[in-house]
Amino acid sequence: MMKRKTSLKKTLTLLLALCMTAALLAGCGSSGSNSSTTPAAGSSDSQPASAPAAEPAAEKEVTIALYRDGSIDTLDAATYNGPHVIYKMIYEGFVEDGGNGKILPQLATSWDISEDGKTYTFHLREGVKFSDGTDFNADAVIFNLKRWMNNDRHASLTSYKAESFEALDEHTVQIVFAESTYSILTELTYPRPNRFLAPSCVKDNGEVMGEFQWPVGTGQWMVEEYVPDETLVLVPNPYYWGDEPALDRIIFKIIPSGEARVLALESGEVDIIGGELLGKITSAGYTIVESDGIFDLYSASEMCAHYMNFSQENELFQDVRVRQAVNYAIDNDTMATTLLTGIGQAAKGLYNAETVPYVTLQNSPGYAYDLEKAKSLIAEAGLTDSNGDGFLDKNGTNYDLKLVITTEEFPEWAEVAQFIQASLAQIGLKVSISTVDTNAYTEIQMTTLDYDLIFQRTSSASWVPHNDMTIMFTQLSVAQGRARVWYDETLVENIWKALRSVDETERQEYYDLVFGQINDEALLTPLYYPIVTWAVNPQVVSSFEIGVNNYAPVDWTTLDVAS
Amino acid sequence: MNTLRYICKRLLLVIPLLIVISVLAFLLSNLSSGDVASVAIRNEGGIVNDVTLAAKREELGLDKPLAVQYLNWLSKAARLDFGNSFTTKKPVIYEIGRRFPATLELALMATLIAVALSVPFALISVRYKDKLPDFIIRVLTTVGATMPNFWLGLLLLYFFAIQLGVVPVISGSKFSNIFLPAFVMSLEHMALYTRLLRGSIIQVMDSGYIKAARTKGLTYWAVMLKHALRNAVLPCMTLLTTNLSGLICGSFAIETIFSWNGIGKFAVESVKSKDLPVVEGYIMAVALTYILINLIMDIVYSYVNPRIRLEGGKS
Repeated sequence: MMKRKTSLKKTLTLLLALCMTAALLAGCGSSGSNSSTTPAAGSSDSQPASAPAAEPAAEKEVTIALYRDGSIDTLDAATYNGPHVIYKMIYEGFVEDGGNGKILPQLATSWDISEDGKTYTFHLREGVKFSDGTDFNADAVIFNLKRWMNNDRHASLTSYKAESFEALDEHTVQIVFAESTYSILTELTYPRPNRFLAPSCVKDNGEVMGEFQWPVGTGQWMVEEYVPDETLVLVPNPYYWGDEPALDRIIFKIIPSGEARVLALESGEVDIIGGELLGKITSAGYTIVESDGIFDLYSASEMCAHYMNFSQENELFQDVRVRQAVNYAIDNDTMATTLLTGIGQAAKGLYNAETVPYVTLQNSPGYAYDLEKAKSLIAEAGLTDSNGDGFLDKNGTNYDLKLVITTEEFPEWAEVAQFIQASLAQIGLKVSISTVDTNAYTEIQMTTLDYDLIFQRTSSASWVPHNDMTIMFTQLSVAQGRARVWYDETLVENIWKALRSVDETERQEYYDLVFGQINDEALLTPLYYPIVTWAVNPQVVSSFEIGVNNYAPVDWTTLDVAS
Repeated sequence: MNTLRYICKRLLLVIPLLIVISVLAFLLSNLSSGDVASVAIRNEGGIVNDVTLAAKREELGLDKPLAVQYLNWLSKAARLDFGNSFTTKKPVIYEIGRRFPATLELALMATLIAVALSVPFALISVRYKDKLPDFIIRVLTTVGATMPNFWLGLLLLYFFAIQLGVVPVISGSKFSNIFLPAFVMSLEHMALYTRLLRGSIIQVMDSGYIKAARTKGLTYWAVMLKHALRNAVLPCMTLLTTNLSGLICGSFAIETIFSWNGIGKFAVESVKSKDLPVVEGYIMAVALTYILINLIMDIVYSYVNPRIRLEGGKS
């Protein structure tokens, strides 16, 4: 009896000791994994050290919430691994987006385009260095072009296919693109893949397909510290050719959850939240930070738009009068003022004519709310309520329309969908809302097209309208013969003509035809234009200015600390 | 010798079990909604069309039939190669291994807190049986056992991080931030241990040898700590180990709320982005952990209490 007890005691002691050792080990293990990654040797040789520790004061720092890990150790300019915003801060391209379709010079100071719109000659900025001190020149450009040109991964861009590219001299590069569209220069402003990384940040220094080591670009910022899933610290690039930023350091805290971002702002762990691709404020979160009353709120309209579109397979919607009736029956103004405070403004046409190039109130006037007109169009289309159930039918078919939405990304869609349901009930159309998770939604939206009605949103920033047009109206896949929104041969023809016109006036004419047809034939129902919002802690941050687009969401040059 | 044979047998049995789990893991994650390639392209901010889809499928090895994909995956998994994460592009084993210590740390800390609280609670509860302290503890443990920990987690986070500002909202996986999430995780277990321990101490206190010890003149606490508690603790140990694997495998809610960078949070994010290799790797890692912890406990048991015979061993 005694002996057994002793062994029990021993075992218990042993177990406890084991537990504690494990806890201790676990502690060590995780602190090991927490240790920050610093630039790989070789690429960091000439990197200037950060300010000496002896001067602790006056380092100007701002902490910003970032919605996902920085993926710095795989942030190859020719990949899609990290947040767009970070690519933009570290790397640069030939040209830069100046907003509203304007193209500004960046690493190319000027460029010539041949008559046929295929041959581009870029004159490179001289005296530019990468953040590790190595030279940016035509060789570096060719090195990068070899890394991303003609790779099918980038097939969503016209500029990904080139017939040839070569260095004419140390500061001139010529590219002959396979396809000529006016959007090539716009595509070259995208955060990836057409950016330039230093050949020195690839293993075996300059081996074209060598393994990527650590991001080194010519941009205004460079990486100082990176802790996976936790923080990413950027400091000004000392070799930067342009304006020096006011800050000494930007600390990004990785916070994937929208609720946690609001909490972190309230607790003072971050100073800025918001933006579309940085640390979006949810509609619920916006109400909270607004009621807190201590943060500066900023908002800007962007180029994106949310709309509802019809299934082209549904014979009901093959009648243009029904589509127009749906448009007339929805009161976007009431919807926006009651349901979308702080997150959206009422849509007229598909795009916001104030922000999106080539869109005018003439070619996209939209449909003003007119219930009587909607009802008369429905009657013209031969729809009646013959069985007296309160909803319309035709030739014995009862219509029950399936409206597909997802509320993970856009919680506001739930209420908007109910508004649509009520609006369409007024003209006798029965709508059932089907809420699905994001992955199922993507599948329905892109592959199965199993819906009668669906909420969608356009692309934004420099993707609109040119890239959107092909995404929305050209065939999803040749086999299917259907488009994501609506397929019409005349429309597609005009889209391609608009994309391929080199002449600005001619391009506008084709866009007028395109937007005119979308509007007049009511190919979709515009709903609202989302607003990008920001909440900034004025006790820490000053000179906050919204940037030119979602990829450059903040003016990083002016951003400063409050004095 | 018997024990060794038993261990070998149990370890061999793990293999078919893991194969069954792997089939389920592979099938279920592939059956879940959404096309992997288009989700991956969308997550990268790209545009889905025929060409990009084909390129992505080839890149991710999704262009082959599901059965072939499974066999390829299995043959690699047997060599502990679970492929690369679709999102981070790094080996799954590295990604999970990197986050596992944080989860283990949290689970062990939660267990420690649960034990450290439940033993005194149970002792007080027994000492003042059916009196006020006992009553309070019983109410507290009922609340603790029934309150959903994600809800309590959010409440405490709001109170301590926003109102008081004593802990950060984003815990990362810093050891100094471990107490709040570990405490929240421990509550439900603490409640269970307290109730179980209370019950078994009361039972033990009724037995003859305790009465004998008391008659011998030993004080209440001496009897309690030296004789009663030691015997009452065994049923708790069973629960403790099951719970430990439960804590490791079920930490995703708390990890997500407290932004604790463990495998649970990573798994949730991977499910959202349809990062199949990670989801499959996570399920395998969790299954293996569960099986191993239970195996170890069964073995430890036979030493702690020889009355429990190992199955297969000759008695």
